[in-house]
Order: sequence, then structure tokens, then C-alpha cells
Amino acid sequence: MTRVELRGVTKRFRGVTAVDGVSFSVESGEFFVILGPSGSGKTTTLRIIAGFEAPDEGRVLFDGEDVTERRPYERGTAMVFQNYALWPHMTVFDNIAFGLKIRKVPWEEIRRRVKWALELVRLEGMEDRYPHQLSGGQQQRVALARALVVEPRVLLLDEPLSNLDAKLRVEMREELKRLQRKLGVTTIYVTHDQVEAMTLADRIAILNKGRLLQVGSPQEVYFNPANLFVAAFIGRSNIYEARVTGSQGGYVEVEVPSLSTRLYGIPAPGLEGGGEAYVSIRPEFIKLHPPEGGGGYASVEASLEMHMFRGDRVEARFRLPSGASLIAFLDPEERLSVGASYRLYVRYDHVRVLPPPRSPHEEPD
Amino acid sequence: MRFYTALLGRRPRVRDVAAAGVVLAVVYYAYYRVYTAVHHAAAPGRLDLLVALAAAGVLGYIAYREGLDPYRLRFSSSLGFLAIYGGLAVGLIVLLGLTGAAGAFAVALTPLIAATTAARLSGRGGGSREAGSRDPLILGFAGFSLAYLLLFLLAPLALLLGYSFLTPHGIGLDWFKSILNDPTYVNPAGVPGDRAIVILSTPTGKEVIIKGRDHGIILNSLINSTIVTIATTILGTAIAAVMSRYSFPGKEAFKVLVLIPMLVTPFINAYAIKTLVGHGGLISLVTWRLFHFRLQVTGLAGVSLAQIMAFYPIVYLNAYASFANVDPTMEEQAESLGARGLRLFFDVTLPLALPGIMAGSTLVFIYSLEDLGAPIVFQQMNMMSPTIFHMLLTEYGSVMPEIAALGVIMLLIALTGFLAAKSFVGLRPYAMLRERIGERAPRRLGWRGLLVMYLVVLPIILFTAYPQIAVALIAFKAMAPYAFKFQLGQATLHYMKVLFSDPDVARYLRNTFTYATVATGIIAVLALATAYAAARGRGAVLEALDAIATLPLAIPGLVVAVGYFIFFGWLAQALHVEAVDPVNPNFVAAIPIIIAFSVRKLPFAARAAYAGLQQLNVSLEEAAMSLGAGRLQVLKSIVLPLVGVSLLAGSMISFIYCATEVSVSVTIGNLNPTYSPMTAYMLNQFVGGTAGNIPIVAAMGVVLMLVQLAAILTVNTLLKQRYSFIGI
Repeated sequence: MTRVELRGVTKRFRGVTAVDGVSFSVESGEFFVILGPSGSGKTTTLRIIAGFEAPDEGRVLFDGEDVTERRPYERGTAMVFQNYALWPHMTVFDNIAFGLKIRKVPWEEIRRRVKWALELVRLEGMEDRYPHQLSGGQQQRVALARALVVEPRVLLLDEPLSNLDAKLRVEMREELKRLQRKLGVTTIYVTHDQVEAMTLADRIAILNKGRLLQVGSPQEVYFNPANLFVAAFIGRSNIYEARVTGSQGGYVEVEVPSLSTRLYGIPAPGLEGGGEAYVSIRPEFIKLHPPEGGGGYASVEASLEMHMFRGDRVEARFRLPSGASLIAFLDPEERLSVGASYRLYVRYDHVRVLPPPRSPHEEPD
Repeated sequence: MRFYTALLGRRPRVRDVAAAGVVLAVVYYAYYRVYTAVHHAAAPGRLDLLVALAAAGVLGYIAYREGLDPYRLRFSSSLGFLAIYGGLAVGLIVLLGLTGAAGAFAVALTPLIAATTAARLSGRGGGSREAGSRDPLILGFAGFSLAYLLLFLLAPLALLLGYSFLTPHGIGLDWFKSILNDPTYVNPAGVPGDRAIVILSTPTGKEVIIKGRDHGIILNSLINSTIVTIATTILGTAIAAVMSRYSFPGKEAFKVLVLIPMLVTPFINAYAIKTLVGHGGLISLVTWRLFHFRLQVTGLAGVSLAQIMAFYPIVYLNAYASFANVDPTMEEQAESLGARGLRLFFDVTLPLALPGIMAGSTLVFIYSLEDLGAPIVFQQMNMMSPTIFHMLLTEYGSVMPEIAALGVIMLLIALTGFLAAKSFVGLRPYAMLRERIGERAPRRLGWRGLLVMYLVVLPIILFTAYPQIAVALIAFKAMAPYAFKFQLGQATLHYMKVLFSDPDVARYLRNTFTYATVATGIIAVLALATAYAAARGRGAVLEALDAIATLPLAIPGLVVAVGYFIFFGWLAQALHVEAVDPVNPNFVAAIPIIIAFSVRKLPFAARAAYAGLQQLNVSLEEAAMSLGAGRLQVLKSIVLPLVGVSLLAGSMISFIYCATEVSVSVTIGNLNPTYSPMTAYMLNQFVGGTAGNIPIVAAMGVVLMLVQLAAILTVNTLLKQRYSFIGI
């Protein structure tokens, strides 16, 4: 059970800043996911925690103890790699036993713990196989068992599911969550897949171009993105340019030219001063019927341009009178016809107002 | 300033730049003719040519700056080829002070060379790699191999360089000037009356002797190496192209036969060729029967022929491996777009394979330059290698600055070619494709193709395999040692027995294999150290280690020999140890020979280990480290089990090249017969004009061939592949 802390970590490769002043802390026993597009510096951050890269600036602390200068093998972490990195010349048993042998664990104990680890990942009886005799999912489990068997202080996973097919990925996701809950090991998991991040994480850190943009629970980053990049990167969003035209006690009034309307009473702390802003509306919050109960809402007339049936919903694209387009996820039983005009409704408290990007890191791709 | 854009009203194209070169060349040549006419045959100096070349270079650079087809400049293989070999040619023309037509030729080429070079140099830059640079084990490995190479490769070469500047009145370029102005060394016009082909009418009939023209020691070597490189490249690539793409009856036999000349049998193979094409050889007998004249190939032409026959399999092997490594989807993509036949070959397959082929050609260039066997057997002493060899041995251990200067010139020629080709290959990361997706099924050859195979290719392959076969026959006395005459009935094991029973002869064998074994041990350690530090370290020095470990390939053996003479003489004086003093009667030649072997033949093992490490995913090592294993533990339990095979295979290749080493063995190894290796004995039977104990030399050749065969078969079994690739 270890608490991990990064303080102002920066790493440059030949003049390119891969990680730029990143600070966060991972609580003991937490499942922490680092999420970002490719090139965001997420893998480098993980490798700095593992000790494979030395940061140019900043410190890494385990339980308050500075481990920045420690070699990877002195940190008590265990890493699971994207390609599993199973040693092809060793059997499953030898692969899993390796870390224990290094730690000079007695032979009987090694056998007992390897057996335990194999049961943990549900691979009983596979001891004598070689990695090439296993399926992708099985290799993944061996890699996981190899890391877990040494009871690491911190478990590090670098996109461990990206080489699996879709169905297996969902299965392994649940398995991973189950194991982490059962063992309570501090886990840091790197991925570019937001669904993986949402489903696994206690908290998510979102990185872009080396900068940490937001840390929060899946609900926080989804419903309350801190900036434009997060809003656009997590889930789908309708994003429009807007102007803050008035404010009152943390609530603002914005004018949205694309929607040809004004929105009122939207919480936007820090934007009371007025000026340029953006609004973000999740497609699932757009309705074909006026919302019941209290609270204000806006409505806009739009023509249906295209719709796709997805089973659990219909994805519809509308063209607004301003020329902008709008995506809505609607009830799958809704009967829609292309070209027809519809009135669309959204509650004010489902609209998010975001500041314009303060740096290139906050610009959506 | 916008030169082309202002003149043409558009961005320059490649042909505009070529035209600019031709215009400049014409202007220069006109000026040259006018000047010589006005000054009554006194040619204008080198300065005028340099001015013209500089102008041409600027024109090329401006074209690049004005946006001349940057992609074509950077990626066109024909332009790359032109830039390297054209650049070499221009450099030599300037160095040798050739003006007039040759100068105009250089001026014409320069703009394109300049534009291509500028584009390629600008497109550089690397990514970063994993794993640490502060790692003590990696630093230790790097330190050890750097120190070894610094002491035993760079220090001798530095001493050689320093020595070449020594003149009776201090430091200067006197030796270089005198060498380059001496017609014995450089004689572009040739010796008056000397002709390449001589037709003699003798009382016994007409003789046609192809012998080549003498242009001085340096030019002879250069011309010979150029001819050999071009001929082997064309021959090796053509045969590899057919063999890798078509199937036909007997293909497996062809594949074995074509590699036979790879078996190194120093001196005796050139001798066998001489008995084939020389006076009274098979060729002269055949032409006598058919056309009533005796055709002979001797002199410089004989040297070229012997080298082409011995070296073309190097290009073949590289070309074959490169063709086989071309991703079949690349060709299929081109075919689906409508390319086929020669078009497909020249536009897709050949460019993709070119880096590998170039690596082979470059090796041939250097092997040809340093080869001692063919010049000595054909008694062609007016070339660089035999000249240095003779100067060294007549001086018996003391080195004159003149030899050092000649060695430096030879080194410069070899290094320029090597580095130019290497930078070209290095710019093409697809030279070694990551993963083989599959191999194209070879197509059946049609009847015309079959005719070409059996009537053209087969005779060539048989002809080139002849020397090794003849060596074996001579060793068992199934062939007469001094003429082209079979005597299968007299076959005997006598000479093979002498090899092991006569203590005087057996000593040479023992020496060779002792030296090769000890040297290979050192090589294995060095190769692992350099390759691991280079593959896993970060930082300019560490990443350069692989290149440094490859460098010995580019250094002609005799240059190393001269450097070692100076270096060990100096070392003996500095340390007061007579055992390493080449001029002392108690000189233990074994020490410098083993060290020379370990440096010269290191690249084969180092390359193999490096290639093995590059294929080993770093995460395998990182996984072990993250589980608590230190570097040494990782090396022992992960790296060695997985790349040990590559290292072993590479070391075996190094071993056979040690056993067949010539340059250092016949110079340093000849100073004290107690320590002479086999190749020194073999050489001594050929110096002085008359051939000595040929059957014993042939028997030694057979032993060497058997060792090479055993090693190659083991390597192929170990690596589970039939063709390997010699990278540079």
C-alpha cells in the first residue's frame, strides 16, 4: 500500500518536452488512470514512475520518500507492458517465478506463490507452457500474474489491453478491476481509450502535449470538464463559440451565435468578467420534448440531416439555421425522417461554459 | 537571390540543374582549350578548375534552396548513387590534379551532387531511445570497448598519420606531394607505348594478351578496384535477382555453386585462376583450337579478373538477402497499380534492395583495394597493397614515412568510399525491414530464361567456382600443380598428411588456429560489450559505438599492419619490452597478430550481436528490471539466452576471417618464423616470381575451406536461415 506523488516532473527528449511540469498524487490502494491521446506524455510519465526514465526536473515520491534517483529494480514497482514482454525462452512458471527468484524467496514459497498467482488470473495448470503456446488473452494474464506475484508497492500498466480484441478487452477489464479491488494494490494505468479509463478508474488524470489538464473522478471529468480539450476528448460534445454577456454570483448569461439564442443561469466560476467563451453540450442531453419539472431550458429549431440507429440510441445530426451542426443521442424508438424540421430542447444546467484555451495544450485536436 | 526562378519563371527541376552543370562544363572546357591554345599547350592550373567546381556547387545549392524537388533529392536512389560515386570521382579528379576533359566532367556532375547532398544533410535528426545512459554496466561496457579500440585501432592509425608528416626538415606534406607528383604513383597518361591488349606473333602461333595499362601505383589500384566493384555489383545483383524471383530445375545446385568462391583460400585461388587464363591455361587452349590464337589474361587485367571471380558472391549474398527481404506487399501494391516486369524491378524492387547491395559493393571495393593475393600471384607489384607489403618487408620492421604516407592515402580512399556508402545506407531505414510478412512464391522460368540460365549463368558460376575446386584437386594431387592438367589416377592423401606430420608445416596450422581462437574469444567479449552499450545506451557517444565497431571493415589490412609496426615499435621503446618490438629477434609476433585479428575481425561479431539486440524488444529487459533484476542479472537471464545465438554465429564468422587473415599475418607474422601463421607460409611460396611448394599450399587451402564450411553450416543451423546480410 503505497502513496505515489509526482512534483513538477519534466522530461525532454532532444529538445522536445514530453512531460511538462506534471504534479499529481495517487492515494494508497487507488486505481489511477492516466488518459491522453498518443504523444501526450502519458507513457513517459509512467516510465518515470517505474524508473526507466530519469526526469529532467521534479521529484517522484513513494510514501513521502524521494525515489527519483533510484534504479527501476530498487523501487518495488512492477510493470505490465503493452506487448506483455513475456520472456520467450522461459515457461509460464519461470516467467512468474522470476521476480521471486531475484528476491531470493525460498523454493517452496515460490511454488506456492506462483500457484496462487496463476489461480488469481485463472490460468491453473498452464505452468509448463511457453508464451508462444498461449493466446493473447492468456499471455496478458501471465504478464499480470508475473507483476502481481511479487506483491509490488505500485502496479504499473502501460496500455495492457490494447492488443486484445474487443470482446476479450471487456472481459479483461472486469478481471483487472476485480483483482485490483481484491488485492488493494496502488495501481497506475496508462491508456488512450476513454471507455477503459471511465470504467476502471477511481480517478483519471488527463494529459495533453505533456501537460496535466485535469484530475478527477470519471464523473467529474465527464460532467465538469475543466477546459475545452477535456470536453472534446472525453465522450462526444457539441461545442460552440459563445460570448459571456452578463453574470450574477457565479452564474452567467451567454450568447451563442451558432444556436441563435441566449442561455441563462449557467454556473461558470471564473468567467464572470465576460468576453469570449465556449459552450459544450453533451448529445445525450438534447431532447425532442420540453423537459418536465422546474429549471429553465433553451430550444432551437433544426432540420435532421442524418441519423444512425445504434441499438441503445439513435445518433442524429441536425443542421441549425446558423449553418452549424448539432449531434443528439435520442430515444431509439423515436421515428425520424431526414429533411424534416424538429424543435430541440436542452436544460440550462446541462450546458457547460468553458474559457477559451489559455495555451496550445487546451486546444482540442 | 532567386536564380532559377528569375531565369525560368518557375521552380527548378532536376534536368535544369543537370543542364546548368553541362553549361558550366562547356564554359570551363572552352576556357581550357582557349587557354592551352594561347599559352601554347601550358594547361591552366588546378585553381581554375576549383573555381569552376565551386561555381557548380553554388548553382546546385541554390537549386536546392529554391525548392528543387526536395523529395526526389532525398529519396531518389539514382541521385543518391550519383551523389556518392560522383562525389568520389570529383574528389579524386581534384586530388589527382586532373584538368581538361576530366575536369569538365567533374564540373558537369557537381550541381546535382551539391543539391542532393544539401537535401540529404538537411533531412537528418534522430528520435530517442529507451533505457538509461547513466547505467554503470552500460558505461563500463562502453568504456572497455572504447578503450580497446582507441588503443589498438585509433592509436596505431594516429601514429601512422603522424609518421606520414615527418620530413627531413620537420613536419610537412612533402611525402604526399612527392607521391602524388611521382609518375610511378600517379601517371594518368600511362606509360608511352604501353597497351592494354598486346598481340604477339611468335613462332608457335599468334598470342592475344589482355593485360591492362599501367597508370602508376595509386591509379592502378583505384582503376582496378573501380572495375572490380562495378563488375561484381552488376554480376552479383543480376544473378541474385534471377535466383530470388524465379524457380527452375537445378536451382538448389546453382545456389550452392554460386557461394563456392566465398570460401577464402588466400593466394592459391588466384594461382588457380592464373593456371586457367594464363600462358598454357584452359582458355588459351580453347581459343587455339577454335580461332588459332592463344588468349591470355595477365597483369592488371588478371588481378581484376581474379578479384571479380572471388568477390562477386559478396554482392550476390547481400543482394539475394535484400531481394528476399523486400516486403512482398510492396511489389504486389505496385503490380496492382499496373507495374510489371522490368518496370516493377527497377522502380520498386531494386530501390528497396539497393542499400543492401551498396553495402556489399562497398565491402568489395575495400577488399579489392587491400587484396594482396591476386597482385602477388600475377606479379603485379605496381599496386598499393603489394607496394606497401614490399616496402615493409624490405625494411624489416622499420617504417619509412613514405610507406606511412602511402598507407594514409590508401586509408583515405577506403574510408571515403565506406563513409559515403554508409551515410547513404543509413539514410534509408528500410534497408532492414522489421518483420518479414511472407515471401513471394518464385515464378517458373520460361524457356528463354532457362536458356539464359544454363548457357550464360551456369558457365559463369562454374568458371568462378573453378579455383576452389582446383585447389582441392591439387591438394590431393588429382591435378598437376603447375599446369592445367588433370591426373585423377594419381590422387593421394600425401600432402594432407604432411600438413599434420611435418613439424615445420604443422606449426603454421597450430599458430593460425591458436591465434584465431584466442582472438575470437576477445572478439566475443568486445562484440557483446559494444553492441549492448550501443543498443541500450543513450547519448551520442554510446550510439556511435556501433559505427566505431564497424569501422575496421573500412580500414585496409596493410594500413593496420603499417600502423602496428609503428605502434608496437613505439610501445617497446616506451615500456622497454623487447617481446613486442618488431625489430628485435625475440619479438613475440603472436601478441600483435592476435590483437590485430581481434580488432580487424570484430565487426562481423559486433554486427550480429547488435542486430540480435535490436530485434530483442527492450521491454523484455525492462520487465525484468521492474521486477527487481539488476543489469547484470538481466544480461545473464534475459539477454544472453536470447541473443547468445546471434553472438555465437557472429563470432564464428569472425573466427573464419581470422583464420584466413592475410595482411597482418604476412607482414608482422613473417618477422619471426616461430610465430608465422598459415597465410604467411602460403604467401612465401609465391613471392620471388617462382611458385614454391604449391601442393602444400593447396592442402592448407583445403583445411581452411573445411573450417569455413563447418562454420557456415553451423551458423546457418543456429540462425535457421540460409542467407545472411553483411551490413556496414
